[in-house]
Amino acid sequence: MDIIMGFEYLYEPFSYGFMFRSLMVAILVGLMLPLLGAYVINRNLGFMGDAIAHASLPALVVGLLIGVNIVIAAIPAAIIIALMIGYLISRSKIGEDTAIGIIFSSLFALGFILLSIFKEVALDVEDLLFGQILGVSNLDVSITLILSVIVIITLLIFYKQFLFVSFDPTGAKVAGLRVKLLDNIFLVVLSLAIIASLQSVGIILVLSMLITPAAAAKLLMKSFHGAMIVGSVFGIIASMSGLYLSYYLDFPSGPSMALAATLIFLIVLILRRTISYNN
Amino acid sequence: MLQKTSNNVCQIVSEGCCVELGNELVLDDVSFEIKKGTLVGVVGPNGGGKTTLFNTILGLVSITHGSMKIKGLNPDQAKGMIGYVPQREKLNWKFPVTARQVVQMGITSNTSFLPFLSKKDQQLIEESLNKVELLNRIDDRVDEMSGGQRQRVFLARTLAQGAEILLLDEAFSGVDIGSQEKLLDILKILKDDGNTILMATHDLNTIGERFDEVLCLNRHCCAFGDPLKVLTPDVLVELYGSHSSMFKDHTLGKHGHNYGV
Repeated sequence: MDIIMGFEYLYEPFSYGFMFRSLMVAILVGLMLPLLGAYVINRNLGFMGDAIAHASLPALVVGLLIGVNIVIAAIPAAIIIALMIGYLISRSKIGEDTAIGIIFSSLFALGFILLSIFKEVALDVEDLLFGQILGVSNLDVSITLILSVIVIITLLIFYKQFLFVSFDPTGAKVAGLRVKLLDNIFLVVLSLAIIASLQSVGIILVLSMLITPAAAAKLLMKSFHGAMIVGSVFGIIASMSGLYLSYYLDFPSGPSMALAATLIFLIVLILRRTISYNN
Repeated sequence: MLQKTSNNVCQIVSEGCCVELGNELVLDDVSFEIKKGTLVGVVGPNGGGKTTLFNTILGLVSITHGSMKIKGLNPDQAKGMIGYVPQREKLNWKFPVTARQVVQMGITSNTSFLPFLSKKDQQLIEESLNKVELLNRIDDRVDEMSGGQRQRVFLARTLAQGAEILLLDEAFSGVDIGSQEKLLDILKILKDDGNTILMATHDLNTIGERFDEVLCLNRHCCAFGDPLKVLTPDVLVELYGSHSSMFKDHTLGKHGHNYGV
């Protein structure tokens, strides 16, 4: 009896339409971010992911002002920001971290100034910063689905090239690969995935879903593609846990997902230590 | 010093090649001709231009004066014809790649889409690894292999690519003596197959015995030719300055002054 009751806790929420929509978005976000995260953690791009999320704030505000879906409004802005950061990395004389830092903190600041100027914008800042997965609309689900398909297909198509340029950029250039173009394509899909995840994870904690499941998978798996797949499984577990915590305990979804991901990471870390200790 | 040979057997011809990086003249009037099927050691101090010379041959930096021809072509037209084994520090070892994946990179072009491989490509990868005697390690991770084995995996990559000119940058760094010998044995086999091989190295001990020619580079070409003839004390001083006494005592002494002293 108790077991059946337990299962009921798992599927009962989905009798509501909004929960079904949230579930869809949670799965897509949990699937897509760690796929990119597998590259991000090995190429030290975490800070850049964080920057793209923060720098999209003014675009979200403008989107709300002109009455466009905020994800749609943020897409072109995020692509421009990603390409700008990519350009700065190759050209910067003050160091890439510094260049990225200046751009993202100023755009994030600009977003808040815009919010205080246009007080009529109906926007819950907390939702934007920490995510509110329970509030996604049908349109949000469709946009997230389209963006995820674009991201995953791009990662599949360019799998060999992305691996080559990430592992051996000079060798890739010598082999005639268009390294800069490939890096830019990667940055664009990274920014699309981040924008698609903003509503569920929030600006501040996108980074967590991007890197933590991927890092846990890296500890566990020997091969790169294996780490990508396991990372996505961890990501989906983390995002669905976040969804349940939001529903039952009214926690903000971003922090719930982030902590679930951290918990998975810690379990993997301890398991790995124990196994290597016993061997 | 420079032996004139007809152009069709010369794989790489450098004529008065000058390269500036920033405002610095890194290569100054460098001339040499490298014939097909030779193993050439490129020696010289750090900052002497070894990597820049390789980058010039690979078409990664532009020439200010003079010319560099690869099989009669300019370097940027010859891209893809040259197999390149990078310095280990240039690689991102955080990526857990297997030997199969590294060799596969040799046949990755702008248009080879999707993660899957054709049967023909699989075969090519296996043959290439077989030539460097690492077929049994095909699915092992390269970052877990020894320095010498890593170099051999990268050699297999150039073979899969179908390159006939191979450039190895500091291939002996972090490779123990036994593995160096193994690597040199494999280079000899590849050379006898008709490949032309340039290897930047700091190790003067192996140059005399195992290389056909040596290119001494300290911004300009100090000497080029048979290592037993051209590695004279004067050339060593020109290459390494006052530090050359270290090499004189060490290298030349050990080899019974057989470098034409």
